[in-house]
Amino acid sequence: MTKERKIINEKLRSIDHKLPVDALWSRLEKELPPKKKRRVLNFWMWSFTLFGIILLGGIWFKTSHKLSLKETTSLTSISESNSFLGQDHSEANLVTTQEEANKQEYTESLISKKDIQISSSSDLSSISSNINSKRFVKPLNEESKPTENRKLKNNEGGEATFRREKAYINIEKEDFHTPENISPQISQEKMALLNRYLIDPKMEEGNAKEKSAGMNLIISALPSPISPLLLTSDSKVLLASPEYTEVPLLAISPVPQMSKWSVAVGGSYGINLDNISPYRKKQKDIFSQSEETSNYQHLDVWNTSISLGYDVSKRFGLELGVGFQRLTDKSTKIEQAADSFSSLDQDRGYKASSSLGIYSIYDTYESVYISIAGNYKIPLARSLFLKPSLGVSYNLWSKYPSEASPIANNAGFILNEDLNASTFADVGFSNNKVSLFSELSVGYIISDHVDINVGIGYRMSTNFINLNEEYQRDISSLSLLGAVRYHF
Amino acid sequence: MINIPPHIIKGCLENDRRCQQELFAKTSNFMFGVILRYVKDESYAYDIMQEAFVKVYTKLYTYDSNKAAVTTWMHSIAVRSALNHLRKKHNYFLDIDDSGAPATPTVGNLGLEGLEAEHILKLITQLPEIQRTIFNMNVLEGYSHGEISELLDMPEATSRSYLSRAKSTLRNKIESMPFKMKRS
Repeated sequence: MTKERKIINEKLRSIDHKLPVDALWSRLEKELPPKKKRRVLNFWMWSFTLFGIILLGGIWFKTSHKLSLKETTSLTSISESNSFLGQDHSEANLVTTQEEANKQEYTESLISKKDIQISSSSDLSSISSNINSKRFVKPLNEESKPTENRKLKNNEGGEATFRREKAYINIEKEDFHTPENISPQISQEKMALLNRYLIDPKMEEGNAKEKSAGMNLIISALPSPISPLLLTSDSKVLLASPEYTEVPLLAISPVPQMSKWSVAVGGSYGINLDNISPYRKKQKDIFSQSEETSNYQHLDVWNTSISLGYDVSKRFGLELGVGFQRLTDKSTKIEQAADSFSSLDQDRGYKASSSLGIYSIYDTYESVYISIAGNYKIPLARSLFLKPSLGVSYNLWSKYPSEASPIANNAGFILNEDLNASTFADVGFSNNKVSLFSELSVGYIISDHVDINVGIGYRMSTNFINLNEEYQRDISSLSLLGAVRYHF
Repeated sequence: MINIPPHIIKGCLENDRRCQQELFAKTSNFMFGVILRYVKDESYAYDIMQEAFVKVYTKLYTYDSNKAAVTTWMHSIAVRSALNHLRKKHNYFLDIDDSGAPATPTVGNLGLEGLEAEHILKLITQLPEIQRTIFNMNVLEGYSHGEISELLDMPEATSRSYLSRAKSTLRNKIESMPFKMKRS
């Protein structure tokens, strides 16, 4: 039988039907879906745009809540001015500008507001703990900013302008030691460095000469429990302002007490965002013969992961993770006079001739993936930061168990418009290999070793095969996420 | 034997028009021949072939090269497209009940393999549509009656009955053919 069938088939195949191939091709070509160009690029562009918006938003948020370095410089310098002006205001031949008067007023008011303790002791004073309650005060508005430059008259009646250079002095945890009286005190070496900037004899009145002086002081690594500090030395406010927006940096690794290396455990729950996805699929019109039909389609995305983090710098970090993802695609239809219906990915469905029925499809898709992500930390306040991140993941393993529950009679599967009827689809194009995700989370540092993150994430999955649009299944989801990170 | 190089399949997967055209040029004659076994009217056959090729291009990602040659896979699409067409055209598949069908003679008894290709095709296309469909599916494609029953939504006995009628019709036609046509 087989041999005869083969002979007959070969004979039939040998017939030349003399087809007008070119004409038929021209006609066929019009029916083919247009080639989608630059799909992958568009995918990336869209995602990077989203990431860019998040990043710019974060930067804007930060800058709009920031007491700028310029302000801080002035604050410090004014405090400095306070010190030597305070020695003898009456006989000072120092000429201050109106701006400087404003500065002084500004500083005094600020110090008053913040309960900052100014000590006249030559030793470091204790820390004012009551700043804690006013940690998150609003920044000063732009109009109240004093200028950087100030003018001093010298003994010859000349005038010199002091332009403040940026001298970043990082006071870190190691610079402190805690004596028996509990008050953390700054090390002598660091204090000498500070004094060099703060107590410059050449800046004394009458000796004013063209010289750069002043400083921007950054306390970058004070441990959270003791960071609301005010350091004073010789009546000079080194820095105390809780508004000093660089202070929150101390809360961000790498800080001395927080290792650059960390591990995190996290999870997320997301819902399908196909309706707003730029690559959403159009609904197939297969409900045309159904009447009084109600459909319910829903996709859940569950995710859990563990990751290893490394902080490349204070702001930028990398995370390498492995995770498990489970998608549940639930479709339910309640119908009368049903013809057919599909699951949410529109590649699976029922064909039925029943007059009344409730049908449901429950697809689950599980995968294990590896991911790499970059993040950027934007300090919001001490111990609090915003962390936008962008990453990509790749599926190492996947499983596509599915079940359907026809309740009505005469229901059967349809697939690919009758192809392979009565069978489930191969996971095929639904098995998206690559996911791109962007996340925006808020982190809070609980202790020297632990921080927590909560936020939202947007994930797009695709297989990066240039399928026709009708069969491309990109899954996009919006998730709520949370993670706990432990720094070694 | 039609040889389809892998790069053409890959190009078609990427929606490359040149590869799609090349695949069409290489396989359209064969696809048309398969469809013509089921559909007598050539103009219908053209339409069905077009529909089949659209499916080939849009569903090529479901093709597994480890399971079968691409032409085998395309063959099945051509058959199913033709069946879809017939199903839309008529609804007779659902209305038949020939449970008391006679036993089926084997194809070897027909002597089709001794005829020229054009004569085989002509004989097949002269069969009534339902007989032709079941004959093609069983004798030429190798579908079992169970599979035919499932695909055409009819009882197995009905399928057997129509196959029997088809073979009987063919035998009569072959026997009435001139001797030289049979020997060629």
